[in-house]
Order: sequence, then C-alpha cells, then structure tokens
Amino acid sequence: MEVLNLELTDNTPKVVLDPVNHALEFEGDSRPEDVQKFFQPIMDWLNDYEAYSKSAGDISLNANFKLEYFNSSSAKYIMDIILKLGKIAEPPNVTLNINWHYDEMDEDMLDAGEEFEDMLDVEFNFVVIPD
Amino acid sequence: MEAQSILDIFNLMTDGKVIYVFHGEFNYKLVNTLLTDIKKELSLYEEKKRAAKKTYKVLVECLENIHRHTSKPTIMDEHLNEGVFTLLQNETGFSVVVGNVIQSSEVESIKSRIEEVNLMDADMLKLRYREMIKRATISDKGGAGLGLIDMAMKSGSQLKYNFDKHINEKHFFTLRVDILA
Repeated sequence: MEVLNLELTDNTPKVVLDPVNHALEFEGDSRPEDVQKFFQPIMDWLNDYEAYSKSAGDISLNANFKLEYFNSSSAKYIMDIILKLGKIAEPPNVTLNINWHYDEMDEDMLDAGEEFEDMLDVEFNFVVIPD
Repeated sequence: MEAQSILDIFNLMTDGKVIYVFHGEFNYKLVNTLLTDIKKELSLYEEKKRAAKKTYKVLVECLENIHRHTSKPTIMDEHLNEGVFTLLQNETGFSVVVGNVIQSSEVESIKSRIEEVNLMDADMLKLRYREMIKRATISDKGGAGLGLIDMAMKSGSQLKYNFDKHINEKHFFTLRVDILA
C-alpha cells in the first residue's frame, strides 16, 4: 500500500495516511470547494487499508486529528472516517488510538470531538494545545 | 449616487465598528480568498480570541451559503450572483451580516428553517445536529443541511433575518448572526 499525502492549503487540511507506520494525520482547516472530491480518495484509501490490516499481524494504529476548523459539510466525512476507523479496529489484531487535538481556547473543537466519541462509540484521547 | 451617500458610507466605515465590508460576485475563489484574509484579520483580536474564532466559523458557513444558494444569473437577469456582507465588532463580540438575492419561491422554506432553529436551545440544537449528520447526504449544492444549526450553535444567539421584495420573482435575503463572547 502507498502513502497518501495531501499538502496543507488554505481550505484543505494536511493529510498523511501512512500504512507502514500505521499512522494517520489530519491537520489544519477543512472547507474544501468540493467535499466529495476531497474526501473520496481518503475513504478509498481507508477501505484498502481495512483489507490490508486484516493480514498485517498485530497493529497499533494511531490517528491524530489536529483540525483547527472544519465546515459543516466536512463534518459528515470526518464522521465517516471515524466510523471506518472503528470498523478497522474490530479485529483483535488491531489496536486503535485516536488523538483529538484542540486549542485551549476552542471549546467547539473539544465539543465536536466529544460528540463524535459519544455518537460513534469510539474512544478518543483528548490532547489540549496550550494557547 | 448622491453626494451625501458617499459621506454616509465613509461615516459607516470609520465609526470603528466595521471591520470588513464586501460586495461582489460570490464565486468560490472569491469566498476562499475572503475567508483566508479575514481569518488573519480576526486573529489580531487577542482580547476577544474566543469570539473571533467562533466568528470565523460562522462566517465560513454564511459565505459558503451565499455561494451555494445565490440565485443563478441568466442572460435576462443582472446582478443576481451578487452578495454583500459586513463584519462588525461590538464591545464583547462580533456580528456577521450577509445579504443576497434568492428566488422568491425559496423564501418560505428558508424562513421556516431559520424559525425552527431559533426555537431550539443549546441541547436541542446538539440533538438536531446529531440527527442531521447521521442521515446527511451531501446535497447537490454541496451542503449537508447543517449550516444554520451550526451557526446557531457556534454563535449562541438567535439568527436574525429579513426578506425584501426584489425584482422579477426574486427576494433579497438578509441574515445577521451575533457572536457572543
């Protein structure tokens, strides 16, 4: 499997999906012009990774969300990503760590993480970024 | 334009409350440029950082809404992809006011959606957000139908609106969101 690497822009987050180190990272603002076009390759990658992870032995999968902002149409896709991570972690060989980073001054981002955690029944570690 | 009008505009712009005014065609490229610019501008308000962050979030939804829902111009119509917005500051927070031309047939549905959101308290908004995101499919205009709920949640205030009759089966829709600190 290949690494998926998307550069940070003003309106899209930096995305690094690394199958070798089992490390996923999302960082920055997410308000793409075409949400589907932006997120579909990420969903495709995760689907491939789901199949790949089943035969990859014991895996500790680390997902870091360092989002500063996401618009309401990105929210749906972020939810789908987290749902998919939960599915990937269903087999006993996969341990999942989701780290949800939020700015100390940004309780909306903390709330959003808590909502996803609660809604999707996936455990998050909350990491505060001091102001 | 009357000579007095330009003075009115000048006075409005210099009374210290107006941070940003824009009028023009709301295509995506422009909205993106405005948002990037205003994000930097808002980050200068150190003493109102919390409100400034919320204001940026509300502004994204407002401007993306204009971009998505503005009545599409045809050869017969002029000025119909235009919108206007102002960003104002008050003692404790900020206000975002946006206006654009819509089809008159959309007035009732927009109005009822805003009224519905305005009737909800913070807990109800949260519940509705959950329901909506769970069954959301991205509509053909690119939204997930969460925009108004999101604006109300982030701003902590009621959404103020107005519809004024415009030309040729069109209305001018004004939305004001006050962001409390």
